[in-house]
Amino acid sequence: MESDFGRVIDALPGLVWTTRPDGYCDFLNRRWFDYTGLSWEQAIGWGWESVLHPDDRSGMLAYWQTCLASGTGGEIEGRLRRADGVYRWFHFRLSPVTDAEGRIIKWCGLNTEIDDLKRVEEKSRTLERRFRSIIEGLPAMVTLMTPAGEFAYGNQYMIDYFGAPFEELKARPTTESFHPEDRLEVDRRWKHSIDTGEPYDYEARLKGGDAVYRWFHTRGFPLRDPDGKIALWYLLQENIDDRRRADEELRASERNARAIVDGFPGLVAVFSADGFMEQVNQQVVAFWGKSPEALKDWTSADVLHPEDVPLKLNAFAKAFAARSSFEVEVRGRRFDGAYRWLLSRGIPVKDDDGRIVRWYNLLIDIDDRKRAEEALAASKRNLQLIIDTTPALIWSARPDGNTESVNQHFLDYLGRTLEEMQAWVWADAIHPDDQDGLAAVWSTLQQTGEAGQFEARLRRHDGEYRWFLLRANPLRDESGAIVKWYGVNTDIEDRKRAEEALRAREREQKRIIDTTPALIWSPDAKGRIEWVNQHYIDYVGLPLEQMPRQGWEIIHPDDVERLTETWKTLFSSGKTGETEARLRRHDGQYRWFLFRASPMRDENGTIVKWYGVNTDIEDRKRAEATVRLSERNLQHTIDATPALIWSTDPSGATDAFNQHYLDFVGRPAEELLGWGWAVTIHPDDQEHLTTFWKNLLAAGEPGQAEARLLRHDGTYRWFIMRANPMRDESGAIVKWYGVNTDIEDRKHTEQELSRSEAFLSQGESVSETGSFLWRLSTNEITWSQQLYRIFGFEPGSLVTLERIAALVHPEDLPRMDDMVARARMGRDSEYEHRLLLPDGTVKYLHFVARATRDQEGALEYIGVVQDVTERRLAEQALSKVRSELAHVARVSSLGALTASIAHEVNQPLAGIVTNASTCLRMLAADQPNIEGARETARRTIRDGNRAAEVITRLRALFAKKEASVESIDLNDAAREVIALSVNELQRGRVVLRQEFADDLPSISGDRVQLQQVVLNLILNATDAMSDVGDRLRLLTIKTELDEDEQVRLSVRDSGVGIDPQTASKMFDAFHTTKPGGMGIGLSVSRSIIDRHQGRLWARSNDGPGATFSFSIPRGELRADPAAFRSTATDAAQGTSPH
Amino acid sequence: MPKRATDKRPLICVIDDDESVRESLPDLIKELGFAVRAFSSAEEFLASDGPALAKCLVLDVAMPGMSGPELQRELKRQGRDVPIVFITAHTNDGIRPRVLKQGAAACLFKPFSDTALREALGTALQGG
Repeated sequence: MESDFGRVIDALPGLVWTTRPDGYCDFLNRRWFDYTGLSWEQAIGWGWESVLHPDDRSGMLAYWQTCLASGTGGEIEGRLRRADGVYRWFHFRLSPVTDAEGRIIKWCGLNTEIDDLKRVEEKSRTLERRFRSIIEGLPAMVTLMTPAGEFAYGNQYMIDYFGAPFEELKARPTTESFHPEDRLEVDRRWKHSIDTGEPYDYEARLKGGDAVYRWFHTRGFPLRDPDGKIALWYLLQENIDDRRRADEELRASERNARAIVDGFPGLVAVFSADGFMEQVNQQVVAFWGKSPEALKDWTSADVLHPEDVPLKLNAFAKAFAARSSFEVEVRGRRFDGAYRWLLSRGIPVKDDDGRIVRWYNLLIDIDDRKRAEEALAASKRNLQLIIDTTPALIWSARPDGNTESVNQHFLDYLGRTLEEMQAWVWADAIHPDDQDGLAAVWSTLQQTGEAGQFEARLRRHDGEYRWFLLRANPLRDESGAIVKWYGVNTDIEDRKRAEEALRAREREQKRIIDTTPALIWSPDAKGRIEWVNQHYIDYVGLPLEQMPRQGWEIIHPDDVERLTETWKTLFSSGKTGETEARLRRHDGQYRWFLFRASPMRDENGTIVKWYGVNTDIEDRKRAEATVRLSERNLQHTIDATPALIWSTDPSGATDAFNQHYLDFVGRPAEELLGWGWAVTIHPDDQEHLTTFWKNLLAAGEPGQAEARLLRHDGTYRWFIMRANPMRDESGAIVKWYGVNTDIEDRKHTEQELSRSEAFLSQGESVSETGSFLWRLSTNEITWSQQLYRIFGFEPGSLVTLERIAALVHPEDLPRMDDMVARARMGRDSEYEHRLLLPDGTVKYLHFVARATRDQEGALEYIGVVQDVTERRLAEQALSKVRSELAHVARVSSLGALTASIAHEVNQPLAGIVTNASTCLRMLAADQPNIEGARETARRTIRDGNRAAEVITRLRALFAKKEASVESIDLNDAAREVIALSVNELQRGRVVLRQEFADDLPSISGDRVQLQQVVLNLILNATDAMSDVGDRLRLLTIKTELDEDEQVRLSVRDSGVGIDPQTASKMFDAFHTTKPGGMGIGLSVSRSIIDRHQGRLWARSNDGPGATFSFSIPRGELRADPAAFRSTATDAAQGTSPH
Repeated sequence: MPKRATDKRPLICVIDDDESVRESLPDLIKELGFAVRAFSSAEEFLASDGPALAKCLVLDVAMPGMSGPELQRELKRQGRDVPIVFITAHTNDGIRPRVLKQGAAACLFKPFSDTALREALGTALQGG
């Protein structure tokens, strides 16, 4: 907070300072130091005065004293010396900072630089006067004309010359003043200039007030506004009558030239035809203060300004060549060393033959005019430059308040053109909330005619409002009448923001103090309560005014004395301190508080104030009382506890025993204290117990040990001794507590148990059977020794499900997962699964487990695991022999399907050959049919793929393949079989109907085996209908999800039906009703379905024929893959009905 | 297949339940210079004007429902003596002599070459 404040102060676009109430400066911000270049030591106190401008110092200090005396803020302007010694104007604003009582605790000041503004104001005030005085001071007529050519202003020279008041001149047609011979040309040239804006330059005769015509050289140039529009025409009319007359006279009396030259009331030099100076008149000599001889060398001597010599030479040379007059302006160095502007006019004098015989050089002093022109142009340039470069919005208004002009910054800011501004009252850009205030101030200013200022928000071109300080100053003419208002709008957005931030921060602090859940108060130097926060008021229930000033009345009478003493000590020592006392609440109840008081010091360390915070510690007090009470209770409890309880100091020396302990050993505490208790330990246990205890002390950790303790009657009993360190807040051990529990009975039981375990272990070893106990609640698994051996685990090592799973054969992992899931549901289970040991050997385990509950009712799983590897290996050897046989049988059944296979393969082959032939023909035509050929080629490829698929299906069905378990869509599987059987069915003239259920759940099993069952059923049904001639040979294959949620497939025929005599033997091996059959189909089919945990059955139809069905549980297979594998390939035999 | 009443080329009707045959064979027959129409079953053929217009049939032996030889018998029963070229994917039964005996112009085993088909059609149309 404080550093933020500091940054804000340093970021303020101004110099910020504060002083103590007496004006002693105690803070200056970084900008102040940066600006003045002073150090803290130099500026502190009153040192800052040194940077005040000497002219301003006394006035400003007097003002500052006035403010200090009256206690009111104010503002003043003055100059401050910058680090580089330059003084710049600043606007000083100072205001007092008061506390809650309205007492000034500080002065705060902000200096804003206004130097540019000052200068502009100064310039603009003086410019018009200067302009006027320049015009009036010119030794020539000056006329200002409107763009339309109307007379706007004429200087005194003009009025004097014409001898008529300005109004009369204004009313007079302009041309009337000119010599009749000149009027036409003057009129023409003037109109041309008005129309084109080109400068006007012409010589003509003007009739003076004395009715005499004199020659005037008139030069006019337009004065343009910032937009380039002509605002005024400035006409300078110079009396050249003398010159003209001189010219004329020169020409008229060449022979009298010398006399004329000498008598000529101007500077004249005469040059020979070839350019050498022959003569100068007296005025020339007087001007330069040089002899005519010296002046002859005018190009090198100090006659002309060095820069102008080439000009004049050049003009001379041109005139020589052109044989015409020349005119050039040069600076002549007068006798006093001052350069003055001279109009140097050269006129050739020709003889009657037109030969140039001489040059007359007339020099007219135009210095005053020249300077005036330059000064005017320069000051105008400066003013515009200043106005446009001042980083403030500058404007001027007519006395009635209408905007006259604004500077470029103002236009940029508002995003408007000057024309828009003039036609538009820019009050529109003022924030609506500020408009009324501004209007009031402006109206007051216009009435009083005084300078003034106002803060308002101005809308920028992008629509954002920014705060501006609007200052307006009236410009008065000599008579004191206001002719103009000048205004400067300074962007104070940042200052405003800073002010707002400061206010917000003060509000925030006030809020924090008021919401702090503590009673905060501030006494004056005498200790009287001067201020309290809202909580204090709420707690006491009295407003501040009614609060007892000393505060003692609301302190509990018993605490007053102590509190008073504490206070006195604090006040005298000036230190922070605290004490506890009871404070009366609004409801009369006293509550304990922690009183804490701190002094607040100023920079010199003097205490200026005290602050106090009272924290409610009623609850803590109560808690302390409760603790004291519970400590007493604890001792009673320890003594009453029916266990042996003891405690030691940090070194391990026993310092207390409970009564129970003393009763048990039958000795007084004095004998046992320290290490005396050791005599009550069984001699065999003393050594290990002592070691244990020493280790425990060293480690500082809780621990337990078992040992025998001597009872008062002389018998030893087993105890488990537990010790716990007690630590303080810093973590250091302050005490050890110990409890000795009698475990004599448990020890006995343990010994019994270990005997039983030994028996069990031997039994398991003999039967190669392991057992385990699995507590599901804790996931704790206990194994017998034998089970460790079966799994090849280190006996006694920790057994986890993960560890077991790592050894289970990957193919059997789903079975283990299933077992675990069943166990968690509390179900019994019995499985066989394999282990794949790290050395690659496979073990077959038979596993039976029962769920039980222990004494607490928690679920336990007790199981037996038997190693049946040898038995399984024997079975597998047998099944392998059987499966070889099965394969031979299956391959032989290929013969039965040869016709079907040929048909299946020939069909796509026919397409391939036909398409290829067509393709060739299309390409071989006179006009090859490319598109057709491409299409037939595409079909060729498609039929080729179709043929390949047929082959793949056949290979799957007849390859010698290990059984596998996969997820099967029975509909898909049946369709593939049907595709292979179509020809058989057609041959048997059987009509096939398919009734496949949608959304049939998938089943798990061996796809090929199940397909062989389906094929077997289809072929059997076809055979059963081979002799039917009087009805449709209808074969219906149907799939469905039956009422037991099993997936069922039925094959129904309209054949001869089931003979009741043979029905019972139908599924026996080698039973057949067909002469050519091997009678193995149905028996193998049934064994396949059994291994899928399904069922195969047959029944007679209501009408003719029979229906053979099988059903298989949906979803996860629960069959035993090992057993499943052993007879897997038997299935092939089922495909041979003949 | 649009009817081409004004077509001077003899119309051959292909009857086969196998879609790829129905796609490929008509193109080839057209390339051989005949007009052609295809039917997916004997029943569809009988229900159309094919029996009246066909100059020759290319007929699959084994089809669901009415088989090729059954259609041959049915046409004979209706008194339509249209020459028939049988085609079949079976190679190992005695179908060929049986249908030839029943009066078929030819019997081709799938897959058959374009030359074999042209010769069979030529024989059939000459005989017809």
